Amino acid sequence: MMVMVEFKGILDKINALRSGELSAVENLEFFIDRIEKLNSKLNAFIDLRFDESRRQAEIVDKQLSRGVVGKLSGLCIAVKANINVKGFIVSCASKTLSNYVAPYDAEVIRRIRREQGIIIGITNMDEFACGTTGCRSFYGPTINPRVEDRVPGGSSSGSAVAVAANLCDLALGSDTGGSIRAPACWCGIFGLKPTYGLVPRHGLIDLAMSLDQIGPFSRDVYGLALLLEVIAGYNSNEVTTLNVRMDGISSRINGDIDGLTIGVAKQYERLCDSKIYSLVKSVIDRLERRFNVNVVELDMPSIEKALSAYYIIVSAEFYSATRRFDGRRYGFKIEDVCLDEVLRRIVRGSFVTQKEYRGHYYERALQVRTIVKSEFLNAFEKCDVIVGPTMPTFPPKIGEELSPLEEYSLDVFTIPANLAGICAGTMPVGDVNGIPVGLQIQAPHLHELLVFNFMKAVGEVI
Amino acid sequence: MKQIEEEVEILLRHFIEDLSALPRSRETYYDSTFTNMVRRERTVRRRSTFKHLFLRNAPKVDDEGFIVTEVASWTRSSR
Repeated sequence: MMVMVEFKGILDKINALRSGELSAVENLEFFIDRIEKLNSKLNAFIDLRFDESRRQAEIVDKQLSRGVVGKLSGLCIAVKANINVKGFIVSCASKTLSNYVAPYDAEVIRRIRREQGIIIGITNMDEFACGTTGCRSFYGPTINPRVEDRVPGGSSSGSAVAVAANLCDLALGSDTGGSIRAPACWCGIFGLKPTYGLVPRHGLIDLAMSLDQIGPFSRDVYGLALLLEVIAGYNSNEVTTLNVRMDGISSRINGDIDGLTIGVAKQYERLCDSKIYSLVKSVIDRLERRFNVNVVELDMPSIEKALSAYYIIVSAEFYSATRRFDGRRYGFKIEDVCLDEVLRRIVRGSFVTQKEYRGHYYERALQVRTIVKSEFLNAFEKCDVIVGPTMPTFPPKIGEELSPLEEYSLDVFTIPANLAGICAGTMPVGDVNGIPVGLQIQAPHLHELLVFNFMKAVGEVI
Repeated sequence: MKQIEEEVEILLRHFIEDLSALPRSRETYYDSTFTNMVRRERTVRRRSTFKHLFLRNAPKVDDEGFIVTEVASWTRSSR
């Protein structure tokens, strides 16, 4: 296997790429070598075009030699299979779209290319982002490189695994109810669900358009902030993007959390595995001892109710989004070839959107969304960030049978941030018998810098 | 399919029971907390001629303004 000088982190590697110590082609070849050795086992990538990636890397090297320096400077980025990348098969890990070759780049991909990022490949996922385990793919399950007998988490399983196994520098996923944070947590890496509207959704094949957000994965905080900085910002072609930018956010991370009030919902302890909660609690205690922070207990009863509202809303929006996959445009009719969970959501969506049931299910769920959002806004009047475990349990063992409700319950801590539209990140804070444990940091709308500063501060006490 | 439909029914019953104790509220379709704060409000320009222009493209329109279409040969209902 090709050997590369160890870099302390993404910033270190970028400096090496910019100084010429490392070329973009060398960086890419290192990852290609690892992918060729490891991907048959991990199943993280489902479409690779190395010739095209090499061509991009050569262009970046030429630009860098002329002094044209982009923010990503030759870093290799993996992309979830529901984000359009021109020339790649963007199948959403479904047989439905298994022949679909993307004819255009999503807005986030255009921005990555503009900043000299190299697209290294398309990653595996739960079919149409419907799943929390990473095992519901037409291309087979993704394997967790940290604990191989357990699931990696989903739905952005391949992107998280690619980053965790060092098959790329950074990766993109999408998060509708925890699809970035769950796999990041269980694979022991960093992940961020940005504020709703901060990152353009143009080119994302949607699961639920009022909740979906594209976001980054990284092995460190800097990489997370850097990729967000590149992809965030207003897109005039979309009605839901916010007119804000995140320029320079990666260079403004200082880990200063003195004076902050940390909120911890009292519901977390009851809903969480005791070993996970103890580890998370010990991290919060260490923060309290090390920094001038105040910890307050919050009562957030709607956390549990968010789950039911979420699955009704998602089903209604997903049903609507999948009507175009009728077999006339993309080869296969979705209902004829999809896996069980996708079919379950389509059937549920068709039911809850029937005119006679609309008020009973869908509108009721949208009312609960208002309640969840109000609860978070009220909580942020008492604290600056809300901190707790990312996932309530350890990842299930591969092959372990879960009922739909049991699988949905795994999202209990991640879903509320999507319903409230706020930003939320996860970072690794240790492990229990080798199984990674993640800390979730939730902050008000557009307070991503606060999440990054908090992550850096936590990094100093673990 | 039958099993999926039964599962869906059970799940929906569970969901709606779970939400029953919560108070009624207004609905939130999209999170717009910041949308209106950072984007200039604009009035939608109403084009009085839009309906006319739209219908002009239709192959056939009846006296009441409904578009007249024919059933495509490849659909089940045409057989």
